[in-house]
Amino acid sequence: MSASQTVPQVRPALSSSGAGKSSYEVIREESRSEKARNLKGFVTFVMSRLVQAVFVVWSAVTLVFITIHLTPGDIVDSLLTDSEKNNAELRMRVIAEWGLDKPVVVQYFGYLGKLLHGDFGTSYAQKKSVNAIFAEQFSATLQLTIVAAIIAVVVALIGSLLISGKTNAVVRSLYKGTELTLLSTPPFWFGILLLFVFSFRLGWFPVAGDSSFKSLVLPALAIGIPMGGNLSQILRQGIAKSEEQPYTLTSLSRGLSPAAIRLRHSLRHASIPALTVGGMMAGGLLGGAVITEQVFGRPGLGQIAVNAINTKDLPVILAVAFVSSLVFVIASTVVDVLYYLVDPRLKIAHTEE
Amino acid sequence: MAQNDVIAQVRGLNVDFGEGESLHHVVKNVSFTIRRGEAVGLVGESGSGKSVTVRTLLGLYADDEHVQAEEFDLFGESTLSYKDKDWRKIRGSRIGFVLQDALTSLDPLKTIGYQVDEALNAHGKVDKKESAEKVVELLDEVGIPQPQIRQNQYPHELSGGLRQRALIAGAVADNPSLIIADEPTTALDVTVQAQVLNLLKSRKEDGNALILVSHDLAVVASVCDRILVMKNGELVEEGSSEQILHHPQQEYTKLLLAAVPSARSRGRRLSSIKHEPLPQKTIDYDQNLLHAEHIGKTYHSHHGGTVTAVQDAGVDLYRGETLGIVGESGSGKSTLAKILAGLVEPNEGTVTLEGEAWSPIPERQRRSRRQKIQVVSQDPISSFDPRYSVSKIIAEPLKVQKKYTKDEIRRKVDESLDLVQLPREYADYSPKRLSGGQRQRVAIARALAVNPAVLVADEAVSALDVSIQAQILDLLADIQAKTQVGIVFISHDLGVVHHIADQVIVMKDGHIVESGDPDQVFNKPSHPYTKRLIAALPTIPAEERMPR
Amino acid sequence: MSQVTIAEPVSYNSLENRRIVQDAEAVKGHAAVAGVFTGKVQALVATVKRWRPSVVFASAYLVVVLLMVAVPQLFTKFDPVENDLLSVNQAPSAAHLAGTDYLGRDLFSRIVYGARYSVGIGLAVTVFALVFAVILGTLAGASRSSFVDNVVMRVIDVLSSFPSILLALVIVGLTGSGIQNLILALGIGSIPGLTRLIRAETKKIILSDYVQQSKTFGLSRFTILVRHVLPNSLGVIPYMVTMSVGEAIIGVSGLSFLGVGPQPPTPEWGTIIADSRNYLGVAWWSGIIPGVVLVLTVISFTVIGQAWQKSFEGRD
Repeated sequence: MSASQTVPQVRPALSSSGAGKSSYEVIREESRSEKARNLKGFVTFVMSRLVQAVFVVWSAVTLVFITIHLTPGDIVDSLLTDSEKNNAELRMRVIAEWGLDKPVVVQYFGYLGKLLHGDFGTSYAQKKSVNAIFAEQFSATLQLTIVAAIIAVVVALIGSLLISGKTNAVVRSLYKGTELTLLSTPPFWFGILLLFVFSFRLGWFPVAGDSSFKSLVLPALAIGIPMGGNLSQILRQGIAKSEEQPYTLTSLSRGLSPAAIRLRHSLRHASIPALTVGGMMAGGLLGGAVITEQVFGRPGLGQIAVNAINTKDLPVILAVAFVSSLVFVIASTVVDVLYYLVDPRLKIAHTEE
Repeated sequence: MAQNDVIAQVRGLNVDFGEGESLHHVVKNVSFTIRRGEAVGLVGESGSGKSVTVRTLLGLYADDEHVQAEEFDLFGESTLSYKDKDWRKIRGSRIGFVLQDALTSLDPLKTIGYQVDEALNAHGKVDKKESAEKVVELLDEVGIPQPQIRQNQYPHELSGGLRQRALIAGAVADNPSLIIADEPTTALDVTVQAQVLNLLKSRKEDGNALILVSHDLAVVASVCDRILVMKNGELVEEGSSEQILHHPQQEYTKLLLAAVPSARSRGRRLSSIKHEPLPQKTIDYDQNLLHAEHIGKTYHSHHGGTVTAVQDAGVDLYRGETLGIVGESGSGKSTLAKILAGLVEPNEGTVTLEGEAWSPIPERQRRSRRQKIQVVSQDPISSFDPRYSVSKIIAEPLKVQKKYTKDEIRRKVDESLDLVQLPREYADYSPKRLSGGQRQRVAIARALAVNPAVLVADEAVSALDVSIQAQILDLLADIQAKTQVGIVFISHDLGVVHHIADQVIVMKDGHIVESGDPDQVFNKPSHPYTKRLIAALPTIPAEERMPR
Repeated sequence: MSQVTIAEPVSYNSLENRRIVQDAEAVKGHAAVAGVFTGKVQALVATVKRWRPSVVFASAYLVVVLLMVAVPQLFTKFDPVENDLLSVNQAPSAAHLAGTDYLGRDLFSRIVYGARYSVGIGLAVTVFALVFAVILGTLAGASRSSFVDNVVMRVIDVLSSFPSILLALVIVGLTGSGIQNLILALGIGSIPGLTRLIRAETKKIILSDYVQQSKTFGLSRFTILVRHVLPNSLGVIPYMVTMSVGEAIIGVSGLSFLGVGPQPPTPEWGTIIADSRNYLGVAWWSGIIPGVVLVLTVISFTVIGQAWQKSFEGRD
């Protein structure tokens, strides 16, 4: 006897819309339109995130622009170093370049227009275009942050998956202690520690430079491992929380092994908070790179920023602000999209927006 | 009976949690046997150890759980030396397990098809195509319409009933000979509950065994041949359903049975076996407390349309009267309750409280009369500020009146505690130290401290064990006889409403489909929905147990 | 027949829960001590005995660090900025507990006096950020108008779009270095996270049953906000402070390391580490020891913060 016969259908919810069609057809159509709605929802979602991202970058740029114009004193003075202040020719050039003789609104749109064309102006200190400075050095930072991010994710995944199967209290508290130590360690000091051990004592890696892949290892570890400790904590707690949920009990009751449950169910649940934190970490990654580059004497955003600040090179400082805000916004938009893909419950929430 | 009919043979089962000072003895010397083709009910209140007991049959323990037994045989094999990998062979393939509330018992991030497929492949891989077909077949068998399409849906996209079926489909995927269902219908509406119980019953009729764990005697009675009653970790009584329901031997079983509210218990005490009559109540039909007409409430849905929560509802409540509002989830009963309490503004219609306009009016004009109508909700602890002690909780509405001295407030708090039969020492306790029933008493004490005309009880006894529920229902009746407070009693439980209400309203999809005298409505329903609701209600198939 | 344990346990963790409860009790004790702190030595001892060892160590360590901030001269007789070119890069010894640096300055005294800058600035950053976060978070969370909420949160979005170190670099770049500017820079960077936390907590409490319930007593919106919402939402502050101070200390030392913090010869931990960079080969202690002190400080704040958080969650 089939159960579907013994159980009466109490909610023939589709009766009104299904006149003349079998309920099967109705549901199939519903499901098709649901899929279309899901896709549409996804596209709207991504679009809204992009609009938001553009808005944030625009606001950031505007904020920086306003800050400069609110800085007390003559803007020209603040754009010039002490030694340059008496240089009348330079003064004229700065005024012309920044359009300081024009109304503020005109200046603002001129500035925006230049940015839109990817023109960051000319560095005063280095006497060359800001674009060129970034073109030379930014790829080193990008390389470093990407490798560091990969290290962080790999360390966190392996660590949290291995420890989650352990019930030994001593092993667990040792692991938790390591996590805590790592996430409390500033990358620049961790870098110094690595330098001391692997370069000065063991001589395995170069002390400074960016010439080879070898020189990338220590700085990437210096950023990646502390961050991995942080991610590992999030993942481990996420896995533990997921394994307290009733659905884990259901999976266990069906004869699945704890390892299978962890990989198929718990990890996915844990990845939701990990993604959130990961998105916020994108900024930390860039900040970490800036400092760590100084430790290892690498070129990159750190050198650009520190030089610019020491020489009050305003066009470069603005470009640093713009680029870092852009990177952060891109990262968090990507995270939002991933988030949406991992958690089907959001589809409803967002199509309903 | 032949030996190979025995699925489980358990003797002297003991379960402890923790160690040393924090050791808790949760199951004490329990013995039972489960045979093929029988449905066994395990009944008990919270803390009785019933869930822990059945989980030992699957080898599912917490980290600090210690299980001991003199004899623990499954399918003729002793499991005393089983390791986790041995248990895994039994789980799902020979014993299936269904938990309460499929919304949390199914992984929300995976489709139901995936989860049934996973159960199917848990013990060695099945051919991919074959298993895809089997998934659809299984979903069809448990009565999920259009399984081809539904299998790609996530738990949150399905109704509660379909979710629970999907959960059952996973549990029976490997065709186990024993299904353990732990409160499988507790989160479900009555009509859906009936369907799920039928589904479980059909498994039994196919020759497999079923253990149904529930706090609800009526649910168990409708399905099981044999009933085990547990209390505080001990097996109190065991017998055929007929025997347990109609000739219980033990005091505790009798108390449990007596506590079940129903038509038969109207006007009588639930919390004692003797069913003494409740104090006489007087309803004053000249004094209208609450009058609502043409109430409508629509919400803007996220899709851009509108959702109608309540439509054209009318309510009248008189002094000393209890008005019951029943309905399933989504029927609009809670929205109506909030409108009556002045917590939600209706889009249409008006409410008057003691003859004066009550809603919709500006909040400022309502504020001074707020205390005329008080609310008791389902979860008392969340309705208390977590920093407050019992006395501070009860005193808060009194202090708003600004007319009492400190001593007067203290006295009134004591009186309120007396009224709800809590010791006065509890005044200084944090409610976290109290049991669920005691917390609900505190909530009632707070509501009544300001002498309201109307008490709105929104699922106020739904989260309580049946014996505690009985005490609270008796308490409400006592208080009403004493204070003549009008009670609006909202519940999904028809038995409770039939027991307590003087007038009843049945709601469905925002409409009042039927209203009137409870005996009339429940015994001779006129609306098809009410008929279906009554038919689906599991009842204890009684010979008259009640002394009349 | 003898009693036999049936099987090894599988892990769906109630043990962890129990530990959390213990932690919660431990920290509740902590709060109690804070309330009555004078003259109750016995109570204090009894409470400390209930704490987990990690919380005990962290608290003891922080007491020492805070003493360094308040009265550094208690710990050392050396002047942290006095050069002694006759004894440069000396290894740790009885005279110089942490050795000396490339200018012969006593490292131990530099670390002790450095606490005032590293931890002091860290605390100042947190207090600064907290003032704004409480105002903005409560405004956004409690406001009936979604417009106010949106405006506040978009501002926060923009602020948080700058990585906080880079934001600080830019601000210092625009305004010049100096301790006030450093506090301002790192403080602005800490505002978004704290604001989001307070807003979320406020929203949660406003939607809670007990706030709904208190409406039925005839309380005004403002009274409810003051009596129920704020006292409960601000309960997260101790947790936020401890967590955020740790981050701020890392931030301060990082910026100092880049040379935009307190200027030499000020003994800030980050600058001490930066100074050591070129002498690691000959004087490892000059980089390692201050780093260990820094990391232990951050860990201690985190341990106490997490324990507090658990007690807070355990409360409900």
